[in-house]
Amino acid sequence: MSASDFKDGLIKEIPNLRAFAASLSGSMQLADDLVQDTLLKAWGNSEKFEPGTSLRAWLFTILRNTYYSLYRKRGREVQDSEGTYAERMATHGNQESHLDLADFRKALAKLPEEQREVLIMVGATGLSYEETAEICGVAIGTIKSRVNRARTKLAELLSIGGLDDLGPDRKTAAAIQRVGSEIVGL
Amino acid sequence: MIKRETRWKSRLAFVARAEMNNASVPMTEPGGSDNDEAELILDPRVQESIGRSLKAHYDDIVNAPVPDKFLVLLAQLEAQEIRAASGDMSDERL
Repeated sequence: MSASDFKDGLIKEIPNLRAFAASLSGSMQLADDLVQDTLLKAWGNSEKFEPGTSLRAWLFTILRNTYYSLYRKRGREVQDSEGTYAERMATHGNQESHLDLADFRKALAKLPEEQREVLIMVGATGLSYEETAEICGVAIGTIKSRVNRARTKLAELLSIGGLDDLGPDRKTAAAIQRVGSEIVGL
Repeated sequence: MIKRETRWKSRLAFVARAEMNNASVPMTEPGGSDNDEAELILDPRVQESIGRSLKAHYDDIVNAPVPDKFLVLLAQLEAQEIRAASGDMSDERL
């Protein structure tokens, strides 16, 4: 792979790296520092990337390792206030979905890191369970279990059954409220 | 896809059974190990809603404009490499 192809590959992955880094660190500012470090490391180790394998998975591995070795503590120290984080990141959509997104992000930030990272990887990035397991260095069964626990915890945090807390889609929210009352007797 | 559909059906059957027994259905099913896929099943509609919110959160950042500094950084790294390569070539010529 030529340096120019590799560079193009990196450029294509930047938006995903930023979204994953923000999900991990809870701060857009830390996320961009983390992405910069990741790009530098990736460039310096480009010969270790095997063409034909997933560049995204490779970059996520670097980003995740960098986060846990260098940023985790900083993240706890300087984490943006929930308001700032939500305001800075909600870039489009109407006011209603903006609020829902902010609520969701607050709940997401409360999940344990090991649950949050796998939920994002499996649920939003397009990575497979296998790739996620490889990135995290654990068995696939562990990933599935963490995803399930993360979902359950999120449902709890968003107090499913509360129409205002659920998410962008109100029709679904209403449906869930009904189902929720049937299930948990709310 | 098939797996999800099966879950849907088994979940609905689970709810239906519980309604018939007039019992409340717990959010999570008890027991189950790390590897047991059926261990812990939220209502599929709850799962779908969480899935949609996850995508909304993630895609919101993915679709945000990328700061120029990343493109500048990569252009600099590439230029360095090109300079180093052409430097090697002129050394050879000497």
